[in-house]
Amino acid sequence: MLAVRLHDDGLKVEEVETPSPDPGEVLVRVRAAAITRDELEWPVDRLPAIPSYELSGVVVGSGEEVYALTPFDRDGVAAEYAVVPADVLAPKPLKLSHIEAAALPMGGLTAWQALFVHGRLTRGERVMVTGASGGVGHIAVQLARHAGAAVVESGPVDLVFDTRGGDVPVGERVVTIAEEIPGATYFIVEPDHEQLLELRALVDAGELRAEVDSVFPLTEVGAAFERVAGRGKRGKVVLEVGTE
Amino acid sequence: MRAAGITALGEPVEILEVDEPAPPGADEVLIDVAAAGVGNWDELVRIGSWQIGGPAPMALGTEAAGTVAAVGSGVTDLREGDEVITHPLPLRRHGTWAERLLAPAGAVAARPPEVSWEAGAAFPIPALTASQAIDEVLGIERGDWFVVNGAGGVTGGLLVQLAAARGARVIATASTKKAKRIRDHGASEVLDHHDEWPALVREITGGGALKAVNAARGQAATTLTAVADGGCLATITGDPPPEVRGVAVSDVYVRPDGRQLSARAELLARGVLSVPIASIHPLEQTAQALREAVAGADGAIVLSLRT
Repeated sequence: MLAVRLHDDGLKVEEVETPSPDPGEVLVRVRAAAITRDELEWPVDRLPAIPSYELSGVVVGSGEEVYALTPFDRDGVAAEYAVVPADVLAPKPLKLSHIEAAALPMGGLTAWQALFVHGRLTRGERVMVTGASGGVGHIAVQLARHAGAAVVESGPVDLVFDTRGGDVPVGERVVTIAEEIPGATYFIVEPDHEQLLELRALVDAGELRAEVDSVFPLTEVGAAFERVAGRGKRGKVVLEVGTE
Repeated sequence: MRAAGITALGEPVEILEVDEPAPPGADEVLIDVAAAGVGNWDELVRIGSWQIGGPAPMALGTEAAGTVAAVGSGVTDLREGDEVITHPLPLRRHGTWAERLLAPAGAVAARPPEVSWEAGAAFPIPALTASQAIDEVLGIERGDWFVVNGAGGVTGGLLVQLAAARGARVIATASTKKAKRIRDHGASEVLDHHDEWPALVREITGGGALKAVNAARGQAATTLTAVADGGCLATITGDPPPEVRGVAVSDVYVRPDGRQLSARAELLARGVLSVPIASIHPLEQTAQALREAVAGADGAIVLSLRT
């Protein structure tokens, strides 16, 4: 199969052996894979490594259309096929194309976990999201409003969700994904099948949307990573993987 | 510690003094119980037809809300002081009708701040049951015709609400006095369960609903007649009928799952799901509370251990 792999000397698109699933895993025909700024710095201890940890695709065998955030400590999904733990997959939102679905898991799960798991946001509270137009921020704003919280741009607030770093506003509770700072809860997003089900329901009900900035074919992965590192993008950069 | 339970299988529920739980093992948490749910399934545990822990003498009870008092060495996502809810199977000997509870960490979910101790305590088993029937067994999707037979109970109400949240067109059965509440839950049709309702379902849907769940004791076979050829029926009352007309039949038994419970608890916090409370009892009245649950109450029955 065709796969993108990160080597010591950079990204290459190359022919590799199609992986086979162990018990508890499934083989997914990847249709779209989204990429994230800085992610090429994560797998440096296990090169060559396949990047991208968000997919939308079709389970080989069952034909089920699925989407997922996949674990960060193993090969990603920027390839024609990916082996994925079965318990991180969820049915793809019906309303979304594979490209749109691949753009949702990391931003959606990060926002969900920041607001509801770590931030304990409740109805009627005031929440401030730094970087509110960014990939995670724009989803967090929608989820917070849907949960009955007031999204505000200045204090006082009950919860600050910092997606940007730098000067973090003061809040009763502070959750950040940017950097570890005293008094704030820092966390790294985790795959979660159950939360993907809820995100799917919100998307299909028309209550949540995730932006796609741009789409590149798998073979143009270098340009895709240039785009994701650049300024002025709105939403996710997605690799399209074959359409036959 | 004080507990409500049985001295032997089949004996009546009484107040017992039982040993304090051991310190939590690597994958366990110790919970100070604030409230515990009482369901008709607890009667099955009492008479020995649902074996989940023990041996007796033991505290009964299969769901609870409380505050984490200690965590095992391998538990990373829970801390002392966290407020949680749980369906903690397999029991570490004692059930939830006790002052303290040892629970497997993987069965524990955070209690969202909007959710009362009582609603949180009564939520785990009905919510996990509804969730597993709808999301795992039936795979409800937007636009599906979906029947809930027996929507008047706590689990039935959650089945209607969760299916509506998933975008299904829900036809529910219940007594007429509960029809308004169930319509408010998002059902598009509520049929009187005394009527020939499967015929009405076939008429409304043009041949039967694609998917259905039976939540009324002994009525899975009746519900099957409302399902379209080649559809799916799940029953949560342990009475799966033989498969006919290509309808797939599943017998759903609730499975503990902290992550699933956590995601559904967020829906409870947001008002997408709700748990009506019928009555709240002190631990001393557990035997009476269980009798009420078996007789059938209009809502959940909860023990409160907060004094």
